[in-house]
Amino acid sequence: MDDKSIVELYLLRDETAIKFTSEKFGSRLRNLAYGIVKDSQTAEECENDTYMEAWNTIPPKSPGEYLYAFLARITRHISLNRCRDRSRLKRSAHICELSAEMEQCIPSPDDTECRINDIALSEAINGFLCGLDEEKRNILNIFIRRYWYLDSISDISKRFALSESKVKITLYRCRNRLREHLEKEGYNV
Amino acid sequence: MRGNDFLDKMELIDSAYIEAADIKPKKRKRTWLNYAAAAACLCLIISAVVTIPFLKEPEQGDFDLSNKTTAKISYGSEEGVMTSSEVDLVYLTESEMFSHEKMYVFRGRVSGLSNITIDFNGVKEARCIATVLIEKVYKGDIAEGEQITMLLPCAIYADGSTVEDTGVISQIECGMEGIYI
Repeated sequence: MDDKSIVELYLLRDETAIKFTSEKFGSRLRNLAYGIVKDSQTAEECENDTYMEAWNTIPPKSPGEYLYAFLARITRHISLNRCRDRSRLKRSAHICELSAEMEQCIPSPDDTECRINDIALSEAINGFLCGLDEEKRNILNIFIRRYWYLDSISDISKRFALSESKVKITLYRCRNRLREHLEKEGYNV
Repeated sequence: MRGNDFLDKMELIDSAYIEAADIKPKKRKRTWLNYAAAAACLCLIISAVVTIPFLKEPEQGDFDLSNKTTAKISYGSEEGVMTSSEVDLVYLTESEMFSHEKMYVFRGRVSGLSNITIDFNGVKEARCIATVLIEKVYKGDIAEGEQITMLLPCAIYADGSTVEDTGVISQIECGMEGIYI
């Protein structure tokens, strides 16, 4: 069933929407969750929570053309929170590593707190990604796989048939460029 | 905002990018470098030295090698020898690259390729010695028309086989033109 029809079912409050969502996107969402929480059972719980959240938010929200991205966003959010709620440091080491990398993108992390308008920050980040897209699609996808899908370096290197050192260098340069872009846009966060 | 918060803020990126990144990339086919792509930049990451200075100086103190080889290896002075830690190009910015005193940048054409086997005390590794005719010099104390030899990090196979981390270099062919750094 195509995405538009599935969204229609949500809008009509037809519960088969969840069944079709699960059939079409279940494994991808589960894989996304597993990549973050590193536990099969928790990943399944995150997947099921995603369907619940999707049911509760559509309507009024509408995924538009990107139903998978809409659902994946929910899954990511739930999985990250689940990971942080757990006190098992061993399993959250992956998230700590990613947070430390993301810190390098922040122009002045020690500055006085400043509330950033999400829309403005979104524009800045998407502007940066648009620049990457024009340059080379692969670099953009590597960046998103790492900092949105939270893939490990090893998984990214296999996915793109690159060495791990190449992936690390690519990400390092991207983070520097993102920081410079945010500085140029006048963001101190 | 800390890194953790910024990781959360990555949720704000455009849905189109999220979906595009979830499409598995197609497996890269081995392709031959385009002769017409004269501006291709070959970054050589080598584990041995670029032997440009050797060509200008007479050999001294040859190693004794087995009589099964035609290669000659000589002791050289440290001057002019660049080790990989000094010339790991991936770590240099563009301005650092072109201001490095020991940097050679030139356009050249491959005139010869010879595969060799180096026996590191029982561990054998395949390499290739490429002979390159210098056609235009952008930086460095070398002259147009000179031929230089360089040690490539892999052997060059006639069937175009690639070696990990040498996706560009392993496709080199005689007659191919490129920019060398």
